[in-house]
Amino acid sequence: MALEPLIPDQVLHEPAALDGSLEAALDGGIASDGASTQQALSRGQLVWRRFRRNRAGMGGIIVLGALFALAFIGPHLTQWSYEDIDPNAFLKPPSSTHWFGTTQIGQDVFAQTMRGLQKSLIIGLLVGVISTSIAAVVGATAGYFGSWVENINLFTVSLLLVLPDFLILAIISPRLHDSSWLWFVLLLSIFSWTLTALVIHSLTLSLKQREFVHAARFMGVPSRTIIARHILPNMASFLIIDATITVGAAVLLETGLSYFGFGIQPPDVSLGTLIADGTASALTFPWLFLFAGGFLVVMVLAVSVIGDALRDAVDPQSTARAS
Amino acid sequence: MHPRDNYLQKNPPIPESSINQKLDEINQNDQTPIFERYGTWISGIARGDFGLTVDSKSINEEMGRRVGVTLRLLLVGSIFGAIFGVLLGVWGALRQYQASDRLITVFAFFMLATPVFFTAVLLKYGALQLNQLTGRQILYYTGETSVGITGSTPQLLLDRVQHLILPTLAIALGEIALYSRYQRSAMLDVLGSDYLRTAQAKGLTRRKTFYKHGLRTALIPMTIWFAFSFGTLIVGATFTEVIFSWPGMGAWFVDSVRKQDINVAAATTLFTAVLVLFSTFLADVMRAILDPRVRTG
Amino acid sequence: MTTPILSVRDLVVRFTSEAGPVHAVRGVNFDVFPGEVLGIVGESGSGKSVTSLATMGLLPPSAYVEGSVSLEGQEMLGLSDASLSKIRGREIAMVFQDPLSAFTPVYTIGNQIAEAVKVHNKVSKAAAMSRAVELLRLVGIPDPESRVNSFPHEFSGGMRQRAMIAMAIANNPRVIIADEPTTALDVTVQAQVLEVLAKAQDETGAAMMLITHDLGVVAGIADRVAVMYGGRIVESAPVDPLFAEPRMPYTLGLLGAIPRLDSGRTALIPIDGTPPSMVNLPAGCPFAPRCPAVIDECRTREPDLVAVISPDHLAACHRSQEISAGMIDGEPVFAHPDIPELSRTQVDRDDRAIALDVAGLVRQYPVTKGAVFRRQVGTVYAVDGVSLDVRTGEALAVVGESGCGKTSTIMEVLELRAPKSGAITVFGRSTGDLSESDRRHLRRDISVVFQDPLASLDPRLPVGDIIGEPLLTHGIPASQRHARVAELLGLVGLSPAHANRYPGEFSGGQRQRIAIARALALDPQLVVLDEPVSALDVSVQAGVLNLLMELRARLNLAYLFVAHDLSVVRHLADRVAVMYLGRIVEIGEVKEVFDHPHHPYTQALLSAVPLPDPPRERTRERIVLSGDLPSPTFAHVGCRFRSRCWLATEICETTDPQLLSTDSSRHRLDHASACHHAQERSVV
Repeated sequence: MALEPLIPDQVLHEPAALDGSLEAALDGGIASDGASTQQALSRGQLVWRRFRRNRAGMGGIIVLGALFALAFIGPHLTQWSYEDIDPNAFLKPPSSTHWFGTTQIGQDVFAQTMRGLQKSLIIGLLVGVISTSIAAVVGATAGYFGSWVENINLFTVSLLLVLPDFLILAIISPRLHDSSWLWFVLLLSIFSWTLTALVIHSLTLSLKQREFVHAARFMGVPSRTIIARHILPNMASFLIIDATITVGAAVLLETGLSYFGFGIQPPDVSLGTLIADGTASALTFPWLFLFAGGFLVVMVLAVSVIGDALRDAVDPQSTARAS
Repeated sequence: MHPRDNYLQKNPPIPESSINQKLDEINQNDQTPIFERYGTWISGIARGDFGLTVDSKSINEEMGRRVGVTLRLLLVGSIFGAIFGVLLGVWGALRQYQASDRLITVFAFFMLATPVFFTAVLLKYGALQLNQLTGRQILYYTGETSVGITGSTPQLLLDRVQHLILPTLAIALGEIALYSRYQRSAMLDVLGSDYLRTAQAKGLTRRKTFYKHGLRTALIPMTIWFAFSFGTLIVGATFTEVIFSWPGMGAWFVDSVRKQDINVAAATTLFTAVLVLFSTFLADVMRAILDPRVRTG
Repeated sequence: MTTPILSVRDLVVRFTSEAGPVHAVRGVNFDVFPGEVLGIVGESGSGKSVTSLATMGLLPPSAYVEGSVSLEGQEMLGLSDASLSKIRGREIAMVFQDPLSAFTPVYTIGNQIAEAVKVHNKVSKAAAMSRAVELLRLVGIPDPESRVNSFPHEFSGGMRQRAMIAMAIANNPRVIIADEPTTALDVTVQAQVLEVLAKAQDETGAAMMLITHDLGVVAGIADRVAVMYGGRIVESAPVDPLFAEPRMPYTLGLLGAIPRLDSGRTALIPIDGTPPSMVNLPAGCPFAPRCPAVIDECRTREPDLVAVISPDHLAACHRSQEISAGMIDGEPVFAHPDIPELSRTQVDRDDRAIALDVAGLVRQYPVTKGAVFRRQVGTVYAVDGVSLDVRTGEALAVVGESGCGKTSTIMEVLELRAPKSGAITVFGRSTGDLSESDRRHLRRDISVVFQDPLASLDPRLPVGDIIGEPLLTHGIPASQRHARVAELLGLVGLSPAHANRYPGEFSGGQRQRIAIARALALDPQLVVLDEPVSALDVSVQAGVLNLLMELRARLNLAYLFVAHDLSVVRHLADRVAVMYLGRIVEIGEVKEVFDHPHHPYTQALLSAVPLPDPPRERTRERIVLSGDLPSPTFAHVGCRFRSRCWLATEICETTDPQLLSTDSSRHRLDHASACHHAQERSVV
């Protein structure tokens, strides 16, 4: 959902502009020959340098790291597990025994929230990686090979795009009740990669026309090697940014489905089910949903800020604008 | 989905023959081959008949009521979202990295990270506090109108508005955030372009250049984002309807999945698909209006 | 002389960048007098475009600008946007380089020209529109009444540039600044646009500032010339003395480095090194690191721009008084490089083996519509029956303007697949009946160097891997690979230590050397070169051209190369094929074709190339073609050139002219043209 307009040309990197020689860019026309040889920074270093200067981005990384630590260490700090029931505490507000309070049946909200956070984080990351990988394979092969491969791949993408993904997921995922939640992850991935694949397809089309790809082809390098060695690495920055954005989107999709009871199934919990359970009595017992909701917002916020900072670091124009 | 499940757990058990009869009546019997059921369903659709719900009610009648509710929500949401989003985006782009731009950015990021169901619940909570604070029922958070309300037209209208504010906010806030980000970056892309420089070179002021040449061109990519974000909007409307108990298509869909009602799920999904297709079509039309390159190319 | 209309003093422009402040312009002074044309020449990064933008007040707000720009006595720097906008477009107008991106895509051309009229005059919309029509007619747009309603994308590049000029002269400005107005255009279109520019200046009586990298363009049109280097003017003089008596080694080097259409194959004189980085400029003269006449003082103190010979000839060089006729103490400032002679010239062409034979080649592209379900709506006849051959050790150039099919031709050859129609034979093997492994094997003998060295090297691989990729692909073991990569780097004049650096760390010329090294990795016999130097600055281009000539002599390579720059062709090629709209219209030995062109298109093409020689350029007869290249989406009947040909008659409409030898009495003459009315006409 946090999909920002991604302009392919900016994502494909333009080393000329990366040299930071605004002069060359302004003088335009004939390609720059004045690119300095003294600046021996690799692209990765440059991106990292820019990223580090972005305070919001660094903040996002720190927050996300803290959330991870909390989600996995947190449960060990309290005596309660997310399934435990404390018969002496029903619907109690936060206290020293139950940090985030308890539910109607005496479950510890802190333990539940940590469990939900864990689940949402893992699901988000897995979906980010899986869906971007699918998109990379489908988009790149479609763009590179053209003809029937392209037609089939693009047809699949269009089909999935027209289908209302949320509704389809809502219908299918309850069928997975008994299966592992990993199936749920796979299902989320299947509905998350389509837009990315379209962008990768058009990126591939333009990379395919780049002379270094022609050069490789004319020296007899096999197609698979060209895709793996020349095409995908040259859109690595886009892939990383996109995976980050997908993490955020996947978390929102997962919690949304779980909210309706179509996602993670009890007794397991996710932030979505927690908020849903809390909604009913939200107006009188706010701790039931505020903590889960708060963590959810902070997590997605951290991820999208990181994605945004990455894009700024990759897109040299953004620094020219900044100055 | 298994509509049969609805009858299996009943106590006392219902005889299988009457279950089958019941399911046949609503064309949701899983013992009938799927193609046959699909055939019956599709020929119904062709006649404009969506069939019956599991409660043997006419889907058409119910749909007539619900479509209006959903469309009102979607329309208001997208119009508010588009107008305020575009304004905020342009505002932010022209004041890039100044305080106002940063504020808009922070707002947008927060809204984009907050799922609609959380926004909605927060709004509800806020409204409750407000009502308690003022001691009057200023905002309502259940239903479209107060149950059994009577009175003069202005009173009825006020009642409707009081009910409308929260759901509209819930759905529009996210849209505004989304559009403002799109518009901001589309605007920034245009700001560096050569033709703005040309326009300045022929004597237009910087301001006039931005609005006449910049904004006009930066609106073009927005049509694509309109089409892409429409799906998000529909999902948002679904949450909003459920949380504020609006009898719309989204709430009906959620209900149908819980009730294992194939016909209703199919009807609502079809409705959504038609809306998405229509929004894509609308986006293409808008694009053609805005961009002469599309018109003639 | 009278008082200057535009006067720039001590102009300094700085930008901030990742690497530190960019000193784009460092103290520039010049005057433009009423009615004159001042040419500002420089390579990329010299600060010439920034100077022009600063003059117009069009630099982004983030730029730091200091000094003085005064227009008719009024100071422009520091004016508010509102006051500046009253001057811009009325007193001083600008013609930008890339006419596609310089027009707002969503408004009609007429609309945008009328806007320029309306913003400075209180006139009705209709009146502004009719003024736009009038202006379009003035700049030679056919049928201006209807074209005024066209959108920018419906105009060709040349037409857009004309419309741009129309817009600039809409309010009869006192000064027109033209920033690389012809750089993106083909040479015949460039000739058209320069003519329109001269006419526009005539019509308005405006002074003009012409910014370009092309010394030839300046020679023909400028009254005075300023040469920029490293953010400063390093030499400035009236056009004749500047070309005849340059006093700054950089100008001297630049003139020696340009390949010329009117002289045969001699080694060019390259300027070593690369233009300076504007971020960390060393103390002293910015040209010192590349200057062969450098003395100690050059490295410590930057020379001032002072008068030499006459008061209006200024040069910024400590030794400008010593330089005379390109010599210091009787020694040339730039030594002539040694390039080994070609050994094979003695062997007759017919006795050499055929490396590549192309017969009746056809290449068509479908024009498609729709995203998912594409349907064909037309065909581009890119290559439409081309026959040529390249003998071993020979260099054949294919020239023509964009859209003529020259690149499609070589790409089709490089595919090594059966063409749609016709035949391609490489070293005696027809590409139609090759197996996959045969084809792979054959690729060892034929390699390619592309135009843009930045785009042809994968930016993510170190140079060693890039050069080693063909070796890896063809199964050369790692141990031999490293040795070979080092050897190749040495061969193209780089150091083996460069192998583990990335392409981004090299300059354009060095990158092209890397691309050449890669092409030579497997000892090919035929190298295909696609515009090998057109992306490079002149001073660097000469070095690469010399390298290509030297390698050819040493390794006995055959070249098939594509170029749009006829001067480059004259230097590098033995034979030349001129293409127009998918066909070869004239082919033969370079000297023969250039000195005695028979086809009217060849004649127009040659006459459009500007010579860096002001007196000759002024007196030369120029054939300016009318109109644009016809659409390649029609199947043509008859002669393809007839719509723009001044010799065309009835037969040209019905009968397709064949390539025939130009001289039936001397059959050995390697020269043929495809024209019903072929007749020799010297144009260079």
